[in-house]
Amino acid sequence: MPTPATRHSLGDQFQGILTAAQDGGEWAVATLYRWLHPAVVGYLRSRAGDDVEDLASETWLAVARGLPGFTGDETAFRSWVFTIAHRRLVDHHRAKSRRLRTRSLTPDDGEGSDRSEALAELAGTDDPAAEVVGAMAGDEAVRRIVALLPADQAEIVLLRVVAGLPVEEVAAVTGRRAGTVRVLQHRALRRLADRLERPVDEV
Amino acid sequence: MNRPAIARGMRPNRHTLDEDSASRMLQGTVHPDDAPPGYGSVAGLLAAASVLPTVDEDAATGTISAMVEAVRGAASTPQTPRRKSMLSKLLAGKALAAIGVVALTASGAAAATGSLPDPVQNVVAGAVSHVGIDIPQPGDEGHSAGHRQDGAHRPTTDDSSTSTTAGTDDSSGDHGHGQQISDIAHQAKQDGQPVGPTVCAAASDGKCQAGDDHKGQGSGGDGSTTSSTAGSGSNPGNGSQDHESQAGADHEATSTTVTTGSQATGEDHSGGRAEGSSTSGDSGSSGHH
Repeated sequence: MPTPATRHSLGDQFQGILTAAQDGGEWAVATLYRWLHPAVVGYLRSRAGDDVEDLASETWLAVARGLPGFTGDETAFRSWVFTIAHRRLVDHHRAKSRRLRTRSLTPDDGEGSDRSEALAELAGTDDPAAEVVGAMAGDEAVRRIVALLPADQAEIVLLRVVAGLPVEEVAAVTGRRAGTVRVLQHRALRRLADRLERPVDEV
Repeated sequence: MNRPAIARGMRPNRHTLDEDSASRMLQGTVHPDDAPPGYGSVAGLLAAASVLPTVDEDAATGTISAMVEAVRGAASTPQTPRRKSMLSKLLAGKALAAIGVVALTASGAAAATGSLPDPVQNVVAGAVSHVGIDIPQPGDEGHSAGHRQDGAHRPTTDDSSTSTTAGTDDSSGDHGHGQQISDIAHQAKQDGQPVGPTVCAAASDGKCQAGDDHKGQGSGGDGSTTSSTAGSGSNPGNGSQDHESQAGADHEATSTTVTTGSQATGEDHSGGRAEGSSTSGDSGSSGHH
């Protein structure tokens, strides 16, 4: 029974598209790009700030350079793309950290500011659960996840939710064991529940 | 268990979360109303996060064009064969270098010991003599006795009074004594006399008692050789500990051996150790039991 093409899957069409893309077919390259680019951007926007588009472009160019030599199925391709995106993000943060260390910092600079703002927004909500159920923009939800969770847990949650990777692929992308990923994601969900359902005066 | 979390200001969640529910929430497919108790907000947040941004068509066009160019460029220059080629080149270079080193070492050792075929040995000896290295030439038995390793040519002497020079305290030791001993060995063999005792006696100034009811013949001895050791060290066994003759004890330790029989390669100033053969130094021989 053919696998239906969904938001996270090209189904049985994948191999044909991949072969055409490896031969330089523009339509196939465009299909792969449109298929995963939103997820790539969704993952990168969690920590890349204003550099999301630049990092996404770098990621896709790296994918294109390695595309002729790629072998694997759809899941492997998705994992490979997000591995490249993950490395680009790590490099971006290292460069950003070096820039920050070269100037005097205040406690509210950088990511700490984002985290404080996110917590302040949550604190000012009378009914956080009702708010998140509402029409929250995807980037806003990602920003809150990043603000509420430690970096390793947020990364895993976003790779699961935004990139749509299974546990094993998340483990491969992040260089962790699958069991470690399961533990971290479980802790992340419990932490989110604690934070989101905490009374306002406790935040 | 939860004490550290409480210490950090966290309230332990009162509800458990099973694996399946966690997995579905992380896929963004759980509505808050269907979430496990206490996780409604989490399910809503994750569902919202799973909503992906739309593709910017302007940026997409440029990126796709660049990707196509990159794919075609990468396809025209395959990376894997090139890497293999570099690797194989590197390995081939190392293998060739190793083979060259082994060949040179083996050839050098063979040339130094005179083991090369005569024509080759002759050519090699002539070639290296220009750079001050003396190696034996074919049919030039004992010829090197007149040469030193440092390239200084020593004229050989025809002085037959070898026995008189042996044992003299000549620190320079530059009298072609090895050649003399070699000549004595040749002469003894031609006369049908025992070579070992004769040579030993000549090398040790008569102190050597080789052939006089000795227990310890050299391990490689054929009855005509006497275990003699040239040099300053002690002889470490090999059946020649009972009777051994040491020659050249007070001379420079340029290792050279003089063998009995038809081939003698002795150089002067020998300090080497010959087992089962007669060894001579050009002077300062001393025999002890």
